[in-house]
Formats: sequence, C-alpha cells, structure tokens
Amino acid sequence: MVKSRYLLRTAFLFLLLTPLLWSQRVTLTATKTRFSLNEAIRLTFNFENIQNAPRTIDFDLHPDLQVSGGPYSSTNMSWVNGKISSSSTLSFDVIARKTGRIRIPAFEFDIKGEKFQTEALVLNVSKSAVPEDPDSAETLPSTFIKLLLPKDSMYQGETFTLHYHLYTSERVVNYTASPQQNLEGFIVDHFKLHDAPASSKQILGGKEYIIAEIASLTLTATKTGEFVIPAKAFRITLKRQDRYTSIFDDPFFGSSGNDINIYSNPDTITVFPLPAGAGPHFTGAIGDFAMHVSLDSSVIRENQATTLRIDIIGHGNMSHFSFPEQLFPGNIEIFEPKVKNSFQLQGQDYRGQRSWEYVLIPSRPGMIKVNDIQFTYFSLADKIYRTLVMPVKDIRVLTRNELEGDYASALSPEEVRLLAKDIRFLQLDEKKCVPAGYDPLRDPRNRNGYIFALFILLGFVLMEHMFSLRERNMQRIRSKNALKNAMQHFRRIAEEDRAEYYLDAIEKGLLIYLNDKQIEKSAHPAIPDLVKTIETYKYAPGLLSRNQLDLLKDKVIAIIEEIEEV
Amino acid sequence: MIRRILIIAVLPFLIFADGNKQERDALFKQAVSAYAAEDYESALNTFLSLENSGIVSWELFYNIANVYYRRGEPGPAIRYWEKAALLAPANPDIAHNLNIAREQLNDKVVLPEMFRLFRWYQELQKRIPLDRMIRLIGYLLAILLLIPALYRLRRHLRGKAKRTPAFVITLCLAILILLLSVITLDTLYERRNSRHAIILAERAEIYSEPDANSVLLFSLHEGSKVRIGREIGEEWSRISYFDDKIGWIKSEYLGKIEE
Repeated sequence: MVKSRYLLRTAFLFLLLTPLLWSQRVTLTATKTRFSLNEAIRLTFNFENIQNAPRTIDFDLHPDLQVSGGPYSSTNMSWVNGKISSSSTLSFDVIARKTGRIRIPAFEFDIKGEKFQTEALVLNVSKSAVPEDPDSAETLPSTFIKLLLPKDSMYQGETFTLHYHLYTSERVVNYTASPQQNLEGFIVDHFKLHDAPASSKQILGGKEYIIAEIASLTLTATKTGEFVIPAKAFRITLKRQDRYTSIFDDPFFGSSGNDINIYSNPDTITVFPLPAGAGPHFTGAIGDFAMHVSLDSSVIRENQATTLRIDIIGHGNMSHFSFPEQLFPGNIEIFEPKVKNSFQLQGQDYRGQRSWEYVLIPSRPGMIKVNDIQFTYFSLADKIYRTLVMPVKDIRVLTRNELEGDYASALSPEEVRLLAKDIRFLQLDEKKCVPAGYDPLRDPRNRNGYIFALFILLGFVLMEHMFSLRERNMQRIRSKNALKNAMQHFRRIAEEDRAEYYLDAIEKGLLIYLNDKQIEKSAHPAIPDLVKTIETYKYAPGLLSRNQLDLLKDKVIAIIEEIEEV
Repeated sequence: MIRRILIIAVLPFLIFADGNKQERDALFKQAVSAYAAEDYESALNTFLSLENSGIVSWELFYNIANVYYRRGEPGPAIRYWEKAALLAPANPDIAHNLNIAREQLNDKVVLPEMFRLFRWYQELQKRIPLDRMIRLIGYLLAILLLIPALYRLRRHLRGKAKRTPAFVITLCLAILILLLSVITLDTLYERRNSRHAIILAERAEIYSEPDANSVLLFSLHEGSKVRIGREIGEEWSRISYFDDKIGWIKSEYLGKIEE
C-alpha cells in the first residue's frame, strides 16, 4: 500500500515536472549595448525551464569588464494554459575597463550533464555618453506592431490575408482594435482579432521579445495600381511588475493595466491586372480548383426533373466569382441554379467547396446530349488560365408510360431499394377463417361485448327496481322480520358474562322488536313493568344471578311470542 | 326470433367445427408445398378452390396474390393483396408486398402533400381492423355500464360509496367510446360505400361515355387501383382514378376488391 502510494507520488511529480524539460535554454542579455566608459550596465543570464540553475558563475565574464555588483539571482515560476514554465536569472552589474568593441563570447553551462550555450553579445563602449543608434535594437520600443504582407504584389481579384504581429518585452494582458470596414482598392473580406494567439520569442539586439500574431485582415483586390495599407491602431493593455502597489493590483484580484495606443507600420502593395486571354468560361475565379459534375438520374420520363450538380473544390477567392453560364439544349427547361457554399477562410484565402444545382426538365422524349461543363480559373501557382472540362452523361427521356430495360435507373433511391427486395413468403396456415363477403357487423363474435353490455344494463335496471320496491315496503319487511331479528339478538346476548351488558342487551332486543313491529310499549300489559324492572336492576346489576337474568330474558321472549300469536 | 338467436349462437361453431377444417388445412399446406416447388399453376388452382368454398381468410388471399405475382401477373396480385388488406389492414407482410408491386406500376400519380392530421386519419382508417374495433367498443360499453351499476349496488348495500372515481372513469370511458365509435362508423361507412377495383388488363382505355366510339379520355395500365361508381349491366363501369380523372371502362378489365 505504502509502496503504491510512493509510486503514485513519484509519477505525479514526474508529470508535474516533465513540462519543465520543454524549451530549456540559457540567454545572456544586457540592459544597454552602447554605453560610456564609466556607466554601469547589467548583464543577465536567464535560465529558462532549467532546474538547478547556478547561483553564481565560476569564470570571468570578460577581461575588459569589471563586476561592480552581483551576482543577483531570482527565480520565477508560472502556470499558463496548463503548462508550467520557470526561469532563473543571474545578474551582474559591470563597468567597462576600456573603450571600444567588447565581444562577450558564448558561455557554456554544464547543468546535470546537459550542456547549454548562450549567444555571443557585442558591447560598444565609448569615452562619454553617446546618442543611441537609431537602427540598433536599443531604439526599438518595448512594444510595437509590425504589419506583414504575404507578398508585395497581387492580381486584381485575388484574395489574400495581411497579418499584424505584436512584439513586446513587457507583459501584455489585453489588446483590442476597431474592425476594418473598408479600404480603397480592396474588398474587406474579414478582419479578425485573434483571441489566444500562439507566441514565440526572439532576441532583438540583446532584448528579448515575445511575438504573437494578434490580428489578420483578408482583402480582395478590386483595382489595379499601387495602394498603401495604412497604419492600424491597436489598444494594448500592459501590466508592469513594478506597478504592484497594493493587493488590488494583484492579477488574482483584477487588473489595473496601463492602456496604450500602438500603430502598426504602413506598407504598400502593388495590384497587377490579370493577363489577357481568359476565355468565355472565366468569371473571376483565382486560385487552385478542381471540378466534379454529377447527374441525379440519367433516365427519366418526360416532364420529370433531374438535377445536374457541379462542385468546385479548392482554394482562392471562393466568395467572389459566379459559375459561368452553360449552354443547355433547347428542349430542356432550366431553372436558376441553387448555390450551396461550404468554404471558410483558412491560411491566405478561402478554402472549401461551392456547388451549383441545376434542375433540368426535358419536355420531349428521346436522347438529350448536354454539352460538357466548362470552368476557367486563373492559377496562382502557374500564373496562367486553366479550363476544367467535365462531360455530362446523356439523358434518356422516356414517354410517360414507357417501360424500358434500364427503367430502374430512373427511380429514386428508395424505389431502387424496394425493387431490390423480393416479396415475402407465403403464410403457412390460416388462423381465422370467415365467410366470403365477411361483414364485421354481422359477425356474432363481435357482438359479445354488446350482449354483455345489454345484460349489465338489464341487471342494472332490475337492481334499481328491486331496491326501489324494497324502499317502498321497508316497514312491512321489518315487521315481518321482527321476530327473527329479535331472536337472533337474544341468541347473541347469551354469550354476555357481565350482568349490566346482559340487562342492556335484553332491553335492546325488546325495543328492536317493538320498533320493527311498529307497536307501543303499552301493546302488552307486562311490557311497562318489565322495562321498569330492567331499568331498576341496571343500577344494581350485581343483585341478579345468572339464573335470574336468564329468567328475565325468557320472560321477554314469552311476551314477544304472545304478541306474535296475537 | 328464437331461430335467429340460435343461428347467431351456433354459426361460429358451424364454421370451425365441421370436419372440412382438416381437409381444408391439408389442401392449404399442399398448395404451399406446390408454391415452394415453383409449381405455381397447381398452387393457384388449389388456393382458388379453397376460395370458392365460400370460406376465406387473409392468409388465403395473400397466398393467391403471391402466386399471381410469381406468375408475372401484377394486376390480380395487387387485387388479392388488397382483398387480404381488407381483412388484416395492419399486416406488415401485405403492406410490404403491396409496396413492391406498386413500385412497378406504369401509372403513378404524385399527389400534393396532404395536411398532416388528415393524412394520419387516413392512415388510421386504412389500418383499423374493423372487427376488432367493433368488439372493443362492445366490451368498453359493457365496462362503462358496469361501473355505475357497481357504484349504485354499493350505495344500496352500504349506504355510501365514493362518487368521484366512478364518475371520472365513466366519463373517460364515454369519451373514448364516442371517439372510437365515430372513427369506426366513418371507416365502416367509407368501406361500405366505396367499391374499388384493380385494372387487370395490360392496358385499358377509359372513355367519356359507356361507348367504345365515344371520346377516349385516358388509359390505365395493369395494377392501377380505381374507385367504381355506377355500373351499367355487366358491361360498363364508371370509374374514378384518384378522384380527378373520371370515365367509363369495360367491366371485364376490372377485378373488384370488395365482393
């Protein structure tokens, strides 16, 4: 268990630290490459993604340089987009011992058996402070935008894409730009500000820049001549480390970046006209294309439609040309083609497919020969016009009721699928036979439910009638059953043990009988005395023995029998 | 009246209890064997003799249709599959074979798309097995009457009974029965009052009048289904093809579906 936990921990650490192995390098940079004799500059060794970077160096930087401070070391580790990157720096303040050109050679570091090498650095030392060379990297701002053209010259009608690259040695947290609406001499196809551009690093004159393509602009040239691509303004938000003054400046708690406007450099582009000799089937397509032609059905009936589909596949100015008009035979009715676009901006221009679907309806039977489909485009690769020619299968038009050998080819895919199948096999036996001319209404088996329903209805009516009769003769029925009910009651009270319940039950039985019979207590002379006796003993039930209680019950029964006899 | 009741009670037993049932089964199997051996002539004769006995089944019609189809006679085949579909409207085998046969018809009409609700209703009418529906309505009616009867009985015996559940169930059943009855009666009316036939001739001319010298309106081909209207003797029938093309055809070219 412990061993497996140890293995897991090791694997986790390995996975965690593996990215540190990526892009390992050591660079040497200087705060200034042109400085005066008594001026101190700082030289910095930067160890990127290298573990166990040295805290000092055991060799002299250069015999002409005197170390006036250092070494200063720092380590920085960051986690960006799931990747860990680390850098360690080792800095020295140096002063030049003599004027002139000092070339710091490439240093080699051996760190845990791996060798890393810096690039050589050239320093120019003057006697006194000198103005900086405008061509030197020292003149480059810490952040700037460079416009990159794919090429200097284009053809009229060609679609191409410009790229805006951001160079920065600072920390950029955001950038925006207003979309490009129009540009003299061009159709603006698309301006795109890239959300998460890929970046690379480059050292320009001893200064390290991060470079990222932050925007692209796709244009299609409409006029010929020389055109200026004007400077484009970008708003860049920078984050400077030394500006952290409070917790609210911390990147985890929001941003208080410094917004600056930066303009890209303008550039010029020359647009040439397309060469002559395009031919009748050229409608402005420039790029590299292939063509595919298909006919929905080559055997159809008169006045039945078939679809001719033409696909143009490739890359170029896909959204800026139409399909050349084709010559169709006169006995075919043609409708405006239905255009389907399936292309998108990719790389320098559009890439994908465009389709034109012509619906053809022949009006007369016979064989119809459709001319070859032709499409001409200007090939950018070869700088010449190319014409694609594709033949179309002849259309065989049948009369409305004609059935030909290849009739099946005129059917729809669903019909062909059905034709390809066979009928299902015979039924092997008969499950239910009926008389010829069978009428379900006359089938007695179908009437069972209705017969049941009729019986239920009759039963329902009968039941209602019976209960109604019973309601009406309730008194007579109760009188008739009075003796029976009373005797049933007396039989049940024989089981009672306690005298008070026994007395209560005798009285109840008598009263039930009198009530059912609808007669008063005075109907028999003995009843009032008997009721009084029961009432009296109810207050002292313990005075009566079981025999006396039975005698009392027998007396009540005798009275009831007498009344019945009367 | 008593005699009539006796006939109604005894008829189903008469149909199945006779000794001919076994003989019929044997003949049926013999015809199936002949079909399997591709002796379509013999199979057809046997199946037709069973049909002529006056007792039929959807299986018999289905098999006769299959034999005709194998013999290359799509008209009679479609006619018998249609006859089978009248007895077993929702049977998938019949529908499958009919679809295959119809795809090979010369006459095809593409009708405009119907409103979805009407289409569903028509499909429902085509697929309703009328005998089962009539039976179902009868039993539902019995249950409908039984529920209030039980409720009243309980009320008489115990003096009280819950009214709401009985009322809700009765109401739902009544609505269901009403709905089913309307659909069934409509279907029954449609089937009784519309007679259809299949064109059996390879090509049949339809005239404007019941006279071969009158104007020839259009032609139909074997397998097409038409609705029969009036008939003049046994010679001429007035037909309509998809309700919009109406004319007169010689009755000998027609194979009636409903007898």
